[in-house]
Amino acid sequence: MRTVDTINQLLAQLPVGLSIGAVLLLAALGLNFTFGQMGVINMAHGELIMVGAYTAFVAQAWVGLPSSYALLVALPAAFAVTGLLGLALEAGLIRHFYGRPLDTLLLTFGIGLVLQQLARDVFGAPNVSVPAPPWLAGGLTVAGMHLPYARLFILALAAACVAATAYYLSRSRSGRRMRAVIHNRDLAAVSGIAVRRVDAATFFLGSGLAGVAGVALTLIGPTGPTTGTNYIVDAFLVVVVGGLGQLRGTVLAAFALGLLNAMVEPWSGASLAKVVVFAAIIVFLQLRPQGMFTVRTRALT
Amino acid sequence: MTPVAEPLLRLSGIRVVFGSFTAVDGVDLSVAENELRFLIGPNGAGKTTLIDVVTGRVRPSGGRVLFGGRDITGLREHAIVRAGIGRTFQTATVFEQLTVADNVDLAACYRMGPLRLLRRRRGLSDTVAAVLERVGLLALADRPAGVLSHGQRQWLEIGMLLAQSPRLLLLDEPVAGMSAGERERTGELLVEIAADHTVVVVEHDMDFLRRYARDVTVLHEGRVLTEGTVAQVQADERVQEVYLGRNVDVAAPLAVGAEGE
Amino acid sequence: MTSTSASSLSPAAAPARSRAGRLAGPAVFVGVLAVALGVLPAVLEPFRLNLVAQYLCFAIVGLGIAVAWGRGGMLVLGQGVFFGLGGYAMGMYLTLERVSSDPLSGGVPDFMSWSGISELPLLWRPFAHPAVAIATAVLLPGLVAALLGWAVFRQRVRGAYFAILNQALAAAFVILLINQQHLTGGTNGLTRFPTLFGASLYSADTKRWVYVAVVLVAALVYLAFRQVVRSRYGALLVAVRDGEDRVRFLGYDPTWVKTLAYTLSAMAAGVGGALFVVVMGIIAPSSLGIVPSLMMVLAVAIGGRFSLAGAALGAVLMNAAETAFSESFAGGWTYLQGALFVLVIVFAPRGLAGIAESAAGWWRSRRQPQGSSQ
Repeated sequence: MRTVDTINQLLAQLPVGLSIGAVLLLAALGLNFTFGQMGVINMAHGELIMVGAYTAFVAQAWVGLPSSYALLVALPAAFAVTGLLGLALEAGLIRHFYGRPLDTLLLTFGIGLVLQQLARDVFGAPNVSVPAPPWLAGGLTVAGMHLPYARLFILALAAACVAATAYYLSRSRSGRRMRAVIHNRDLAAVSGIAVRRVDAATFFLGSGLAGVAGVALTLIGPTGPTTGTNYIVDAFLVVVVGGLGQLRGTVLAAFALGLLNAMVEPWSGASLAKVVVFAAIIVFLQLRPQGMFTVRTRALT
Repeated sequence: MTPVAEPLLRLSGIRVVFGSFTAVDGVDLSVAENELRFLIGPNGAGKTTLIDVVTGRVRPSGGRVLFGGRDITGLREHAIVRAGIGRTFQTATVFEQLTVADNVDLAACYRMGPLRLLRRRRGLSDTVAAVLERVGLLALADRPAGVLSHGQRQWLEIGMLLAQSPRLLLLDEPVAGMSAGERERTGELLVEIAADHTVVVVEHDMDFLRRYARDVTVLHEGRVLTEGTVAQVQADERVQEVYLGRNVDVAAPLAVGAEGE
Repeated sequence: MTSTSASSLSPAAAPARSRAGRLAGPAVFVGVLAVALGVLPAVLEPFRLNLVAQYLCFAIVGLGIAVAWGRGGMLVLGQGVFFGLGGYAMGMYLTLERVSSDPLSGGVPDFMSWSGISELPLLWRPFAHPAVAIATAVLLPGLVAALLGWAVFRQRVRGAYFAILNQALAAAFVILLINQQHLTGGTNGLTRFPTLFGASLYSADTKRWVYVAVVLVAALVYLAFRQVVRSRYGALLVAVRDGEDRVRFLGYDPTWVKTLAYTLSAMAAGVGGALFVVVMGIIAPSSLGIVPSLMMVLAVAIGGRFSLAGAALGAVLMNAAETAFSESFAGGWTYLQGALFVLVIVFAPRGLAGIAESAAGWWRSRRQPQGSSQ
């Protein structure tokens, strides 16, 4: 009887885990480009997420779009805003620091601090909330589990972003060029690929995805200057566990960490959940130090 | 070529696979005590990979490495060094921020425990001074290794190797990119070292080979093509074909030929 | 705690210097120590003196970061955890000292009574003894770092991965502290310590003695780490930083080399935290998380990560600047911090110590045009 109860309890946490996973996935998807593919530890990615969230806020509170479709406008708008911000960052600073990941970490953290303070000065320190569209109110009840529409929407959004990313990388011309540059930069350069343009495009896409993640976050909680900070380290952990630059690894790791968080929490309480997840990651790295998926190459790093 | 006594190093059936590419495909190789063995072959023949296998940098997908009768397959790199095998790298890697003396000193002190390592180095130990003298870098002992020329770096690396007094030395292309004068000097050094060490040299340079090699093993496409003295190997038609570069035409028949060994 | 280039840079810079040059470093060290012990207590009012002591606590943390990051190449972004472990261990002792002298407390700290705890939890009991508290403050951070370091370095997890794991540890640690309110005091942390070993912490006299103790500990840590970076192990650490894989082929296992440096840096952070509690009278989660940990690294980056003296000086300067600016214009201070991160990485990756070094080199080459050194 006890085990049945436990299993039921865990099952009840399934939707929670999936939705945490979806949020992590959206946050980590952009990192898959900038960290995974270019080796840049962009701590400002969290602030780009925050900018995306405020874009959704601006669309309603300042521009005055009705909440029924403001979300749908905010998604592409946030993608463009954070994408361009990322582009500026790459062109202005980060491109001088390729191959020096730890320096990019400190550099972009500084930029993140500035962006946070800007947000505080522009929008004020208290959190703001963005009304969700009426059509996302309520939810489904499937087999005794309550699934809010907002969470389902985030799940669908994450799935769509993954599909688009996969399609882009494997099918489009510029996506293939991007992979070529990642695989062998010098060879790509002498093969006539404009390496600099590919770098910029990679950063634009990665940063744009942060904006999309930010808009999604407004559906599940209030937005504040430190919104992104709360997600950034978890998002980086997803990439670490998934394996550098591995899309399927990112997807699996995001949901694995999301589910683990959700399953551990009722059992140990919120305070220990993070510690347990951290310990689990260390144990996992004992088995697979390079993450779930790696490319075996001759070059040892 | 078959030594009478148990060889110092024996590789049997070594296979290395990178993804879908087979870099080493079933190599057997024996090196006797005090031998000076050259390992040659065109690009991609698997020479460096073979050294990587012996030194633990690459784990073979199959086969065994026996060193002094002991199975060292799959040991970690530093354990293999401690077993008595040292190596240099194709592009000499020395610690540029440290002085020349520090580089050699660290190499010499690898058996020290942590507590002794926490003491300072006072001057040059006899070993370090002797090694620096031997590779001709004594005058540069207190300079950072970063200022050394390409040739000097190779000598420093050889010096670091000597300071460890290994039973087996593996030199990966020691004269690549060197000037004629530097080659000469390296060759002399090699002869000196080989007098009282077992040495395996990977080398591309045929001139260097003719001057300094005794026994030669030729690798091609991950297999042993032939073994013998310099004269024997040079007379071998298959070796000439491989080195003349008619790769496209002869690749298939050669592979078959190698299998027939 | 400053010196010239002497103690700082690559060991390679050392040999070309004259006898006077060799003695310059120790002379500066003794001079700084004399001023810190002889002059400052006499001229500064107790409040200012206490601030200097606080900066020195962070200087101790900075010394550890300089060893792990500057020498060992490990970007330690979770020093707040070790600082906190040291701080809480000492804070628990100070709390119990208050509780034991307060007949109304009922034997437990007030935040425990609020949570309905009437008996001291097992975890707290050993900390009634100062020796246990002090030993824990030094050894527990070292133990945690040793276990974590050994586990990840053994599997060759390094660089960015290691940095991110440190951040994750800091995040988890803070959440743990906040949510275990009945054990840790939650967001408020541990505070209000009237006495240390029976002496009033509010008296100017005690404050002066605390300051002297902090100066002496900082000097000791500096000397110990100076020995570490100048030893063969110090050279080995630099070798591991610049070519971990190459070091394996010298017969060393980089795992223990890195674990030791990481452990030492964690112990330094623990010592800094333990002293900080005594000096400031508070330890709380808000000074231990991801951002405070990064600030500890920023201070070292500004002072010069390759130089012990530079790292310590950077910590003192940054914390002094924080005192000066953060209250008057909080927002402006954050912009400045952000800008400093960018500026130091872009323009002065070797920090102030690097700038001083270049200036000294330029000065020497002017005086000796031929650069005759031998």
